[in-house]
Amino acid sequence: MSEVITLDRVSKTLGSREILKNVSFSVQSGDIFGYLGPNGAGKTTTIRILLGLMAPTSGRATVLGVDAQSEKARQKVGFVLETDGLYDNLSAFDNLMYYTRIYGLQDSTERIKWVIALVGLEDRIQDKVGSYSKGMRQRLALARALVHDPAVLILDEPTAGVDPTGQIEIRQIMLDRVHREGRTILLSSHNLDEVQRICNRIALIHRGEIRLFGDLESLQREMSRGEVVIETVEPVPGDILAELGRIPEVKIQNQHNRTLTLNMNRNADVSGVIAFLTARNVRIEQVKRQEASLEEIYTRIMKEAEQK
Amino acid sequence: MKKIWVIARKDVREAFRSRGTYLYIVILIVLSLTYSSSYNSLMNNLIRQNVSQQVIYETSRVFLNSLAYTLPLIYAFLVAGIFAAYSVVMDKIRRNLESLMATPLSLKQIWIGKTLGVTLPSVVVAIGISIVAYIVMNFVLIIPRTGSFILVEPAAIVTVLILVPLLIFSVSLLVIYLQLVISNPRIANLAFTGIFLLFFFGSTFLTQMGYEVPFYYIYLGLIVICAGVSYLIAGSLTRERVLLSSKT
Repeated sequence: MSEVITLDRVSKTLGSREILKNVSFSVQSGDIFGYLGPNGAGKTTTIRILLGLMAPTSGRATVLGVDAQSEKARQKVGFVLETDGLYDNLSAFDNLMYYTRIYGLQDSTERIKWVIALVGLEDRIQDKVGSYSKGMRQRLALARALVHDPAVLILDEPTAGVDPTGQIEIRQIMLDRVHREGRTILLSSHNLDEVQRICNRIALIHRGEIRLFGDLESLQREMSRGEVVIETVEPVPGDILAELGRIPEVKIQNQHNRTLTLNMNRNADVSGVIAFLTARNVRIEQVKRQEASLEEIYTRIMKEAEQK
Repeated sequence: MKKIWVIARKDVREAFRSRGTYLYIVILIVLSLTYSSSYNSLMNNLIRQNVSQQVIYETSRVFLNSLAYTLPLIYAFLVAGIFAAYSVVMDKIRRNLESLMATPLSLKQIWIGKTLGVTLPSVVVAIGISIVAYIVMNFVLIIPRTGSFILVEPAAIVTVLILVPLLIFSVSLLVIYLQLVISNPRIANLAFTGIFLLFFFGSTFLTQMGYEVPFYYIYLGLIVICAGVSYLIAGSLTRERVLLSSKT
């Protein structure tokens, strides 16, 4: 996989404020990359640098191997920013026509109609954008991001203000772009559930520094607390539980009816516990090693960062 | 160049979709009536002095010629103020400029496109209203007094068709630049007023000092100054500067 977006020790200072401090990460081709962090952490500044709106004080940012400050890089990027950038006095069609001309597209009518249908606004295509709801505007902003068929999408809170059905549809559009068309997405969001659902890799920024970066599944495994949930056909008898509790690497957390929760070292072998229980005629239905949720990871990293 | 026209066309379209623009044009037409009353009082004075028909004709010709030089410019300045408000001020308030700058457009393309979006409709509207005002004044006021339709001198026509658009373009370049880089873009519109006052008081001062400087020299001088300043400051226009000044 090739690197589509790279930030190499990027710092940004505005006045006396250091907004980004040696930020480095990369986004691979085909990634849906979640960029997380609290308000004021530096997410928007990073996005602005990637879109060439701001120049880094030091370090280098590239998009598709080209300096992010260049017009060539901007030609290949579609974006949704905090503010939608749409013109109220123009219709949805005219808004998109304006941008297709800026991107130098010829005969774009069919492309505009297709992309507007994709975001579910075909019935309102000729209405002035000033009459649109916040959710509709976000959909249209996404349509604008897609209209010139960019290789990379940089999306800042694309589902903000969108109703739940709309959020699902937008998520599906993002997944389709990546899986069917091989595009790459950098998604900045406060919606951890959304990021967990669609992103394969993440970076977490706090006060201008990257605190966590990597493959989401691996991070979830690495940061799990070693919780193992065993579902049995019958509740495990008390004497077997007491015996199980004497195994050094096993801590019994609780048992609710037929669900037994154990705390084990992340690297401990669960098969030993399964063998122990089956040897004592405990019939097991399911064994699950609980991975840390993104919310847990986020909270933990933020807490650690605050304590530093 | 094509992308510059795309920006200009969109701005013109957006401005003409606002009722405020038409209201302003109506106000300008009403404003033309004040010139009619100036002409009337001038004529009444001459008639009281029992001057010859030749003097009345000559005075009318001078009056119309000076209007031909100044009226389109005054109107163009006033209309440009309105169009400039749509071009950058609203874009900055709504933060649309950020999206525009994130496209492959260069900042100079945006700057010139926005300037053309102000200049073209201002000049067209101003010249249009001036021509209508000129014809109406001829038929309603001049012909009944002089008996003939008075045409403006060729130099005035050339000035209006070439120098006035160039002057509005070069002043708009400065105003749009200021709108792009200062936090309160509305203040930049004062530059229109400032340059207009400079022109007005400057030409009055020169006349009072006994210098008969033709209008087209004054216009040329202003064009050179504004274009020169724009050229000098062009290098200091950066996306970051525009973006940071948008945080109002």
